[in-house]
Amino acid sequence: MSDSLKTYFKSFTYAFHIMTHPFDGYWDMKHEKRGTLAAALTYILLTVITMIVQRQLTGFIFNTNDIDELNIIKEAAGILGPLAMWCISNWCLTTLFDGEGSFKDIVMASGYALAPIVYFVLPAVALSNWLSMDEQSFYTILTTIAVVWMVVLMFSGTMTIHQYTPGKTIIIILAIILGMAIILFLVLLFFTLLQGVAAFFTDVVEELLERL
Amino acid sequence: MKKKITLFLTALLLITLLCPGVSASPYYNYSFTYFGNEAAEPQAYNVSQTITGISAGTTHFKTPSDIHVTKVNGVNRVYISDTGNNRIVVLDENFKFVTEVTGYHTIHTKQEIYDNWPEMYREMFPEEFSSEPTETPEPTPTPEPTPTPEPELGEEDPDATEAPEPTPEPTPAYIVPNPDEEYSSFYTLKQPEGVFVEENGNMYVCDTQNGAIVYFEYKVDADGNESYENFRDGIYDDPRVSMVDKDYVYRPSKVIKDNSGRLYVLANNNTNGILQMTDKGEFVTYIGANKTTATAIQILTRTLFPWLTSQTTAVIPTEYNNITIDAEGFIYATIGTVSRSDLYSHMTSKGAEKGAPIRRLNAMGTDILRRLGAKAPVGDILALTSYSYLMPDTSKFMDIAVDSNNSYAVIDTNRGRAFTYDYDGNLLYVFGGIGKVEGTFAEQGAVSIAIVDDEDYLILDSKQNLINYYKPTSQGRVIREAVTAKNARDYDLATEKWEEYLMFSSNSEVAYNNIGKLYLKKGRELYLKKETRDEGARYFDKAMKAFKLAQERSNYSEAYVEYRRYNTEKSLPYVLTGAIILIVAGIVVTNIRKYKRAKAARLAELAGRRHKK
Repeated sequence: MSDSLKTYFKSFTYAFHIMTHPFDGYWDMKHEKRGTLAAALTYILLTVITMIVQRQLTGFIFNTNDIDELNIIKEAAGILGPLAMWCISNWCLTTLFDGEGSFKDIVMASGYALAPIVYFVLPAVALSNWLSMDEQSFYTILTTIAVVWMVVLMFSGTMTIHQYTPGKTIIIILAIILGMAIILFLVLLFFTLLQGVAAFFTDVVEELLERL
Repeated sequence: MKKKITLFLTALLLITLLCPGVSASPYYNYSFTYFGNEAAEPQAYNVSQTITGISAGTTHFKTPSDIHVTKVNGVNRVYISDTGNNRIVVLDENFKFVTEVTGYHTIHTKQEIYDNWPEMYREMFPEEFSSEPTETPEPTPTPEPTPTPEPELGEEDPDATEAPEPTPEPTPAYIVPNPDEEYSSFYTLKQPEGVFVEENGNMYVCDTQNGAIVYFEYKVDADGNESYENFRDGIYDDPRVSMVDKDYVYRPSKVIKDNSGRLYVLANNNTNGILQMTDKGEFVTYIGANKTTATAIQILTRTLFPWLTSQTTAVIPTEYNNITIDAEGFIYATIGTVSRSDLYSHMTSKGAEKGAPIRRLNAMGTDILRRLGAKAPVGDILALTSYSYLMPDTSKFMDIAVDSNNSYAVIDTNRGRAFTYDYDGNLLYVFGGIGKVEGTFAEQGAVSIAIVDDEDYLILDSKQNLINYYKPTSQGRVIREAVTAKNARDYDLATEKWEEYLMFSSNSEVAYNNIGKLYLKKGRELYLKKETRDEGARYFDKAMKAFKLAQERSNYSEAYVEYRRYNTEKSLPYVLTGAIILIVAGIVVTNIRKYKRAKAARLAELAGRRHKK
């Protein structure tokens, strides 16, 4: 096993340390270089896969999706879009407000924060195929734990990599969410305008073709 | 090449000609899938006949508004409330004219006439006043024609009957000679909008514009001629319940009678619910009043700008537009004016409180309609879920017909379609449509539906003035038989029929759901006995597969629990045996290892000792 591969696996399993010791873990991730971007991106990819698996393979009783109709790009965009917006908004605001973390740190922290989703939702999906409707709470509790844990990790990650106080972190997270909304608005606006411009040029070309 | 094409076209033509029974219906049958899409289904009902006034052997109908079918002495009779012609038409089982009812007699004593209509009295008996001029305190001893146009006999202002006008009291003591003498007058029906007939043939008519309900007695003379004569005390006018609103004019539009003789009446523009009356026409109570809910914006407007309240839309409870009674005595009522948002929230929440366009009321007025399907019965679902800018009209229900299996057909006047639901509220089939060909209706034309022989439907078109008579196709009959068999607890037959239906429509969710339920029932039956336990489990498995195809999650869970229990019980001995074997093997292996290690140690010790030596 080559050295880089070993580092990668080490940083991959480092997620367990982050999950159990968030503050210490994120500190070491940044300063001791115990985490890698590759591992964080792997967790993002695994989360996308997990969400698709959850959509398709959750037991029939708990699965109200039309599993005959799957658009992987749409599903992936449903995860990657908000995540990208979170990271960009996070970087934009923390740069202005004395955040210590770089964009790479933010992506890594967010990527590692998604680890509970992978480690809890996948077993929940497997379990859901064995549960009946009365036992739904087992399934719900696993997925809820995953989400809550992820939120806690996102919080502690943001707090540690930027070296904020808890109070400031809460305020900055609210601001980040607002920033995400603004980004969404701008993106929609941009595409609407683009569409308008495109339509204009198509019209002009069509008109010219009619005349020629 | 040309030859080939000719050959091909000829073959195509021949194939087309040879295909039997491909009859294009002017409408199509469909169901809604769990995911809210439309799914085509085989045609369940075809129009077999169109009945007009002419074909029945009378004059044309004119804006008829109600149709009612009752088996009188074992023979079907069709009663049409021919509103525009001011009559009730009675047709026989072959839809031929039997008789018509155009009016009724009222009988009053002289005293009553004098008390209620003194001016008319004077016109009726002028000789009484001319002979006794001294006793009349009138300034003119002879009765002179009154300046106002006098109500003629037969066309009396009905309001006079309901509201005895406050007579000025110029007559301190006029003694009416022969006060008990009776005089009858004839009223013509004025735009009757509702008719209800009892098993014995007696008929209730809502004489809407005269503001009364009239009870007619069914009479057959020696020659077999049928006629209707109103009961002497069978004229029930304004029950005086709307004292709050002085301007309110009582206009009864629909009436039904339950098994214990109570009358239930709907009146136009009355939003208080259904009037419950005794069989003497005395008002008892309102039942099933619809609740109103103001939106947040309405409340806000009213609180912040109270002076605008009169200009905002009033929050008025929705009004029932039709009622029907089923065999068990429950009242089915429809509401045609539910807003889109209320209808949508009702469709998903399935709550009875708000937005329900179909109700099944008990005598207390509580809605007990079963809504166990994925969505509540609201008619067309796509009109509510698709967000196209066209915004198709939501279903507007006008009338409902219930059969003996408690499945009910509601007529959606915006689409001219009858949506038929089973007892649990699952859509069984849809028939009818808007159009100009046989079997379709004018827009907003289909207003009333009645069931004949528990199977066929008559739907009244008030715009085209005709009645369409629908009969089930072979596929529709299979569904009906399946539902009937299940209702009669003949589960094997029901299973067979639903399986037969799947041959016509292999994706029918309602069929799979029913089959699943029947399999589950059968499985539970078999599971109880030890010798058929395996077969029972097989049925659970089949039920699970059916429920999966029907997208029925809670039922699937029930079948799954049974199946899981069976599997657990079956595999438990093996699992336990396996576990014991593993444990024993583990113990043996560890003991052997221990023994070997001990032996090795002893050998080493021996060797060491020898070495020392």
